[in-house]
Amino acid sequence: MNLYHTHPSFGTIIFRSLAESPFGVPMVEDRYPTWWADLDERTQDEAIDIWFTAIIAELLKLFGWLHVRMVVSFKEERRRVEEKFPGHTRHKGGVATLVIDSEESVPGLVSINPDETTISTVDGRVVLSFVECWEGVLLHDPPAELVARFRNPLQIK
Amino acid sequence: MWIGVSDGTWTRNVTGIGGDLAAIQTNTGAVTVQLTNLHGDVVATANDTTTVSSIASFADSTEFGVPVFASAAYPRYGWLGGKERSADTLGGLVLMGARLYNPLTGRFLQIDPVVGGNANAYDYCTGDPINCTDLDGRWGWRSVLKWTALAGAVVGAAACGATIVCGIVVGVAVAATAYVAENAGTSNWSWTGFGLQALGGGLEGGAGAATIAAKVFKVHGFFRSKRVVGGFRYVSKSHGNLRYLKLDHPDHIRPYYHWVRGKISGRGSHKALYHYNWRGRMVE
Repeated sequence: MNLYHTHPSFGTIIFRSLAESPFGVPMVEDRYPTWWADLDERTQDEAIDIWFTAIIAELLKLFGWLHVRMVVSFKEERRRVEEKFPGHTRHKGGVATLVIDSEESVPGLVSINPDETTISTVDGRVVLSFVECWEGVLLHDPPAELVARFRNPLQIK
Repeated sequence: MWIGVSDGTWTRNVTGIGGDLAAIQTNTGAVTVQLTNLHGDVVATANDTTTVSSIASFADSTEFGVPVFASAAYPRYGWLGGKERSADTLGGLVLMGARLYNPLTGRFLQIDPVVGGNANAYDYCTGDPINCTDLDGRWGWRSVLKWTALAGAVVGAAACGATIVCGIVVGVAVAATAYVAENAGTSNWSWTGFGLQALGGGLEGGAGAATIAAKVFKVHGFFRSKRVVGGFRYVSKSHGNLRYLKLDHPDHIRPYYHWVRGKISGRGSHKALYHYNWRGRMVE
């Protein structure tokens, strides 16, 4: 299985191991690319929203419905899950499971800050995962067109 | 302190440098020096004059305060008289702050207003009146030390919760302190017991305290997922933002328990700042 680390600050790069990762997974602040670290926090957050909304929307197009499993620790994040996905969420032991079936619901997903997330296709194939936060998203065996499209860093004007 | 009597006379208690009763002056100006033992009992008195050649009175009592070998009349201040605990009340009872104490039975007449302060609600100093005093009738100083130490264990473990080792060290120190507080100078003291409690109980207590602290935080909703062992959020004074510290289970990135220190942006997004292994050593 090929894993790719993706982030708006550097694009999409292959991930072989934590030791070989140039940024760490998830990225830690003192290993951010300089230009990214110089951005204010709000701009960084907006860039992350844009980047991952686009990636998940692309996965939705490629694979149809997506099944999302999120480990949510903070209680306000749990509330946010319920607000964004009313009636589509199941909670058990801090784990929320929900289905993304339209592009409209993708921004809601990216606005949540879980501790761990796994997105899989309807047939159970994991396509995206991360631990800790959106700074550590890994793509699992992503289609070549997806890698090509998100290979380069996000252009922020 | 001034004490008035119904016949119009009065006495004045003079406190010494150490805070204990040192002398009593009457309305006639006569001063009687109060001589105390190490327990704080007034065992003899002497008139403060240049011509005095012997003690004015003497008194002794059992460890629970029952007068023995009393001079003609047991004085107002005898057992714990140095602490100004008076036996003037009817029947030889001693007024100990919030409650009346009966030396004959070694029990208070009222229940302890502090639940759990002693062995039972009426007990005096958990049956150890030599090494313990309960001047305000609320609980023994050993209990104070013990509970302070145990509270310190929880607070200490929580405060240094970044490393389990730190929590254990705190636990060991606190367990040892608690043992000393409870047993020092008594027949229960033994170095073996001290060592066992400090090492075995201390290690267990330290780890337990850290776990309890983590669970308390968890119960309070800071982290409520199976992935997270425990953690908490705090406001960083130096950075002026909201941060978090949590201990996570192993995952597919890190196959070991790891601490994560991170920050929460103004919009609520989480960013990991540092990772530590379970022993608190920074790994990233």
